[in-house]
Amino acid sequence: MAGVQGSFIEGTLPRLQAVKTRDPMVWAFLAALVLLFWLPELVLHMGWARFWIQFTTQVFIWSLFALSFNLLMGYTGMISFGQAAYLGIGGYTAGLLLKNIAGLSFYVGLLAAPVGGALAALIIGYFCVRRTHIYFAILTLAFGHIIYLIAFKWYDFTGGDNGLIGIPVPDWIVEPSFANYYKFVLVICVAAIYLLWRIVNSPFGKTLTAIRENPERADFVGIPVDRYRLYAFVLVGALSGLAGALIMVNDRSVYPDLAHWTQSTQVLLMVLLGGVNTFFGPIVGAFLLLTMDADITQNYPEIWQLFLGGVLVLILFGLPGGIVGFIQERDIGGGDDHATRVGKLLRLFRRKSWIFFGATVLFGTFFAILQSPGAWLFPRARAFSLFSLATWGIVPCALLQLSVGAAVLWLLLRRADRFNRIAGALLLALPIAGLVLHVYLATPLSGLLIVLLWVVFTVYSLCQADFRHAYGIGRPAANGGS
Amino acid sequence: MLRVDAVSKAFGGFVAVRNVSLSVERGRTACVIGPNGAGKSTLFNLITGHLQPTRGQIFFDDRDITGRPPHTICRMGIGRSFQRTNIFPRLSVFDNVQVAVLSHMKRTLNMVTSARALARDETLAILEAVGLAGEERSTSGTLSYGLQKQLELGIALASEPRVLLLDEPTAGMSPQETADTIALIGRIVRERGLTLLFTEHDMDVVFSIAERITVMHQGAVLAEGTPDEVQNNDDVQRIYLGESE
Repeated sequence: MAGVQGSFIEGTLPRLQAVKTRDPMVWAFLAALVLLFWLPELVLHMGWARFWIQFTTQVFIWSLFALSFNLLMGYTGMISFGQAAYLGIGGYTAGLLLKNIAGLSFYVGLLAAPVGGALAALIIGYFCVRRTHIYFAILTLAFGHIIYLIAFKWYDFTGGDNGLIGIPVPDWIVEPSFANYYKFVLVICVAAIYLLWRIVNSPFGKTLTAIRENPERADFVGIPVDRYRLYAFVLVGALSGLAGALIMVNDRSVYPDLAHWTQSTQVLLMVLLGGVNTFFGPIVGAFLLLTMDADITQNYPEIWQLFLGGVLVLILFGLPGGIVGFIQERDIGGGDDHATRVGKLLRLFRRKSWIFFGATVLFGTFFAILQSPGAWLFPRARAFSLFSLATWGIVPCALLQLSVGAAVLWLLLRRADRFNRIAGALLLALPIAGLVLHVYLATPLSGLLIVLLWVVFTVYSLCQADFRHAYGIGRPAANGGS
Repeated sequence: MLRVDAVSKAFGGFVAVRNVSLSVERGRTACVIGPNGAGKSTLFNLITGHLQPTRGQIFFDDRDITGRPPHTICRMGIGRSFQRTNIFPRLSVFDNVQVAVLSHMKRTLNMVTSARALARDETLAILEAVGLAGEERSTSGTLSYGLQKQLELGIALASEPRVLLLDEPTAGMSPQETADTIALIGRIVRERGLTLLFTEHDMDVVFSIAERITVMHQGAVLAEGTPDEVQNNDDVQRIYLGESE
């Protein structure tokens, strides 16, 4: 330590002390890759609809798009309303090259997509990053719409609203089960998301957060703010372009709709829903939004927009940090003593548990209504049987869930500070029971996801050292009192 | 070391800084005083590149830095704190200083190495120097006002400046906090051999540490000299010191 201070007094450049540390997250990414790799085999083996393979692939692509968008929005504090333009540019770059240059390697065409996205982002970003906040947002929207119109109107070049069709794609990728396409996308997305993870945690990522927090101060620690904003914009443009090309591969075609501004709002919503200030939030947002879209549009395409608006209002007022932000939210002031902290922690846990419970019942019932409308007291199709909950009407089923669940949760949370290991297990068992119940009730996937998030929340809370300590589970946290 | 040569700044028809000249010798402590609206903060913003002077030139180490952007001026070796606390509020105390250290070491374009282990010792050394050891994991926005000011000083020190510009370092502080802060600044300036230029309202502080004092009034320099000279200057007594007593 003395040597380091000495270097400051002498005014020499401090040595860069790079402690070699292996990033443990690399194993998490590898594990996710290996586990998810066999999903198509599972789906085919279980005889589930092949739609789910294609659907999950779509979730991966949108996760990549949303995560890279969050690098702009959450980390750098730049809200772009025209991000779909780079999705479109990626799709068209790869599509046009593959279609017009005979014999061009498919992989070269695919690699051209991020390059195209980056180039477009460089040119557009050069003008946009000079403005901040709403002016930046409007500028990106305007440029995004220009890109859309070029794709839509320039028939000779892009095929206009007929789209660009018949793009040559290797046959092994687009075989009918979608399994190879799924794996192809999975590998690329996991690699790209890991790259994003490294970027976010690198000095460059820290610099971007500093710019978000206080551009004026960032400037006066020697960071050329506009240039770094442009770097981030180009990087995100490249990754969005890649996502666009991956969408192109599935359809073997590109349509101007890919660059439409509604796609830009969709990715914005995914990030908001999942959690702006979290790394993995956008994945949750993408998964949830696409699932709800699939569930609702399938039966009632006309209420999807209405539902979307409702969700948006709910997020902005109820969950400003998104779902992942809500799960991680802590309320710990700097000067709190130990007892206050424990008290706050437990209060927060109780409140969040109730909210998750409420959301489970609410969404479970909502999707039940969607699935079998009119079956308020008794089911329409199946014969009623007292001992088979699946044959109950919507109202009695919801009331039963509400009363039994609330009673159990209340009992579990009541004497929270006197709890032990068994209580922790019971707390975890409740949402898992909810999950099993909804699987049994055949609630659509979106409803299951909400319950799954409750399980994740409980696991996350039980893994926190100071929370375990507060609950009397496990050993006290290492730096407990300070 | 730092020389301001006949600088003026006009906002439309309003002249905020009028023909101000000022110079600070290496290793000296100089202070700019003056009533509110005298143009002190504007002068600082001109020096650090946040504003462009309408006329005049600014030299640092005999190099003309007039009109350079703030990040260039910062890299040349001028550090500053702002009148209203200017930190990265939602980042941890550690990250606040680490970003500045990484920027100083020109590592901010590194996109692959984990930042966690980088520049750790340097950052901790700075936090210790400004009295924030043990607070590194707190969110900086939740710190008390005095600690935030200390953190801001830490951010400024991270770029190893040779000249430190402090805009009212004790504004809004209790007498005890003021005394502590002045002691801290004095120690750091001494240890690192820094040149210090600051503005201040508290006359006790000014006369206790400043070696040269420049008095500004309505954008222009009213008097300049040692504390004794300034104290005995008739104009200063009438216009400035008279007002406050």
